[in-house]
Amino acid sequence: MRTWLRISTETVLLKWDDEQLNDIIHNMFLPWRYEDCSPTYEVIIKRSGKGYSLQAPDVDTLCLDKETLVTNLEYTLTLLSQKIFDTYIQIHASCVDFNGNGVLFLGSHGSGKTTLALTAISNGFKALTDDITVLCEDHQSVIGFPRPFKVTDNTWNMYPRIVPEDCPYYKFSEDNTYVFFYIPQGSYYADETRLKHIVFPVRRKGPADIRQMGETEALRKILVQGMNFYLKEDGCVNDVLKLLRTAPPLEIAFSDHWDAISKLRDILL
Amino acid sequence: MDINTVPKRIDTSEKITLSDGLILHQKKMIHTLNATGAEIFELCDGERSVQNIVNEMASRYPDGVTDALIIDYIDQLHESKLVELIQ
Repeated sequence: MRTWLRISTETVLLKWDDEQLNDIIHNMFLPWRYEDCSPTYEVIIKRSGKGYSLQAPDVDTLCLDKETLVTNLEYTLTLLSQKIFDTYIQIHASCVDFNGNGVLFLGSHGSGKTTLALTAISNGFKALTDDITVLCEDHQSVIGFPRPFKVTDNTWNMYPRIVPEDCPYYKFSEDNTYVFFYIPQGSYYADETRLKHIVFPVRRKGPADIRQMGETEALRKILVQGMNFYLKEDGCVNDVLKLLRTAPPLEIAFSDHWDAISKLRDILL
Repeated sequence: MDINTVPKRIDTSEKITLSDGLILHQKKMIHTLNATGAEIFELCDGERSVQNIVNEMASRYPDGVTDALIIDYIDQLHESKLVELIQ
């Protein structure tokens, strides 16, 4: 069994020999599936005893069960994608689109990026990416990073309404810490968008409130909380500044995700 | 810190002025200064003493910034190797 994934200008051939993986693999990477062509990279999954072996460029690992395999596969494709996007700036942020206006949610782990993005998708926004956003060279457009949305088990239990109605999800077991969401093409997914705002979520009691941030404060937050923010050898400060001047930074303080997205929609209309 | 000490800015590789602050890019370190911090940094010209800088900031912001805060800030700039202390 095989499928081709299109990542930027490169093609990754994914091969596996266990039919039980069909559903997971096809759905996890559905937005990036491609017609067969000469691949640049190969990722091969084979049954090995009770588990699986996973082989890819710079990766050769044994996974004891399906759950571990899926986690490693997602991680392997993330590493490969980061390698493909090597010359691009990659920001630790989720990204959604509303009527052609792109919004980055940027912050440290647990700040609410993914939950806000999923809530947005349930409210008429389109998904681009969860966790890593790729900045185009014009500093005005961003493209989706090929990675399925996922939330922790805790978030899933706390916010069961965040899943769009017809968006399938895959939860392995009660013990597994992640729930993967498939964001299918069509109404929920956008490939590229022009950035309108960078939004820094902050959890705070009371109704949602949006304020403009100064350049210095936003820059500091991006550099500190960007964590996986990709630093080019000649420094990224000027790139970040161009980004901030293209997409003015906002802070959104909220306790309820639906309230926050409703306020954000009002700004983008 | 002796208030007669004279702080002097150390040349950084890149200085970027923002609408509300300053960025100093020094090898692999990036320092962000808010607007007030940027003013204090600019006053560290190698000629003004700490006391001179305190007096100047007091004239600009009579109700704003305390002497102790300014002295502490210059100390932080020194700790971050953004200024050197003469004398």
